[in-house]
Amino acid sequence: MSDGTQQQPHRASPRNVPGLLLSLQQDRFSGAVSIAGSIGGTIHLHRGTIRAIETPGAPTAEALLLKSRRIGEPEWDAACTAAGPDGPLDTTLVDQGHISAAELEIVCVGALYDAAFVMALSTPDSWQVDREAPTPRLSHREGTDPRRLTEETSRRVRLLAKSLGSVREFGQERVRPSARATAGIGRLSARYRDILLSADGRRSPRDIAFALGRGVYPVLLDISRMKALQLIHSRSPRSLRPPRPALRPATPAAEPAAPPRPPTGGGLPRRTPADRRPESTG
Amino acid sequence: MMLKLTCLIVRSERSQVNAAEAALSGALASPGVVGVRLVDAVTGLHYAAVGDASAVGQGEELAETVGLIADRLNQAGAVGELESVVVTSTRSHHITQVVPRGQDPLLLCAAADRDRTNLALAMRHMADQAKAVLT
Repeated sequence: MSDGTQQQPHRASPRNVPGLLLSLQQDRFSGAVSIAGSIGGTIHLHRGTIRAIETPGAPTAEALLLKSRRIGEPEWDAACTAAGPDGPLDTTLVDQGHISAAELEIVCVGALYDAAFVMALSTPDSWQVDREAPTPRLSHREGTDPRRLTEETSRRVRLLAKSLGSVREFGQERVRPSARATAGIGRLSARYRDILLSADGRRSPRDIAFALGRGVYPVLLDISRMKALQLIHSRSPRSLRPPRPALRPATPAAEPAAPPRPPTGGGLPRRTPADRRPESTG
Repeated sequence: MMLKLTCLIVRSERSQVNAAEAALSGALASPGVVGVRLVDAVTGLHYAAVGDASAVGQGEELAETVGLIADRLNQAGAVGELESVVVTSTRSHHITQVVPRGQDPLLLCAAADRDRTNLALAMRHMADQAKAVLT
């Protein structure tokens, strides 16, 4: 294993991840590249082409299959058992009739591009190349050309930046339906309806993607369109924080009187800020 | 160039599916069809193509056009899911068929030579192919 920031194992010491992937493609590299950063992840390559990308910022192919209910949990477990720990899970899923080969391939390719998009929203701190890393059980067998992946990722970021400004910030904002959307929800497409029903004012677009079993980019794209149609509103997480409390008095004597406790005996006791104060200062 | 746009809105139906490449090869069997492309209906991501894919157009443009039509029709009061978009010009036909797939539908898009194509038959053929593409 080598560290991309300290020792460059490949010829012209690539300056960024796309450069590194092109270099690895020329070497027909098989293995994994672990990217460290605020949105890190692992890029799996086979003979220079990209087979899968795993990042906590985007749903994996497995998450997409299960959360979208394309495959049920019992069927998934049965296929995992039949394939064994190191067996071909993708082939088993197809052979057992849980999903078609075409559908599985489309899900794996979609997950790969989505993960690349999410990782492109942050600047990597460093990377490590590992020839011995295990390959994920579901991947794009044919492999994706790194140049095509880079071009598509750049296009996606540019497209969303045009309508949303900072894509990364918008991805963390909380979204909720507008009054207009609520009034006309029956007329909207099923895709928009599902997003509106998931947008409860506490979830971000990324949360919605995970909840629905969809990619982060398609959900962001749908939400940007819905925002343009005034179907959805967004709020920055900062605006949701409660107002900052006044500074605590330096002496207990100056502390204001605790609010009266609610009467006990009716319902559960409620914790108030005054209840927490002694423990937190103690 | 004379341009005619026809949009069909119907209730989406759960389709049955077949391997993508085989289904696309089958789509080329329709007389006059010169190229077929399978793309993601939301992102425009290209998944597969047969024949002259350049005649069909880029995936992102196809997805954006179909998304725009669906949004505007819904705004105008249309109810239901967009099923197909047919664009005819003096030289060719472009048939785009939505492949229902949960919240992430696909687009099966074909370009056909106008002089050699019976549009009604080609549309029916594409609708059949859309039902088979993921089975």
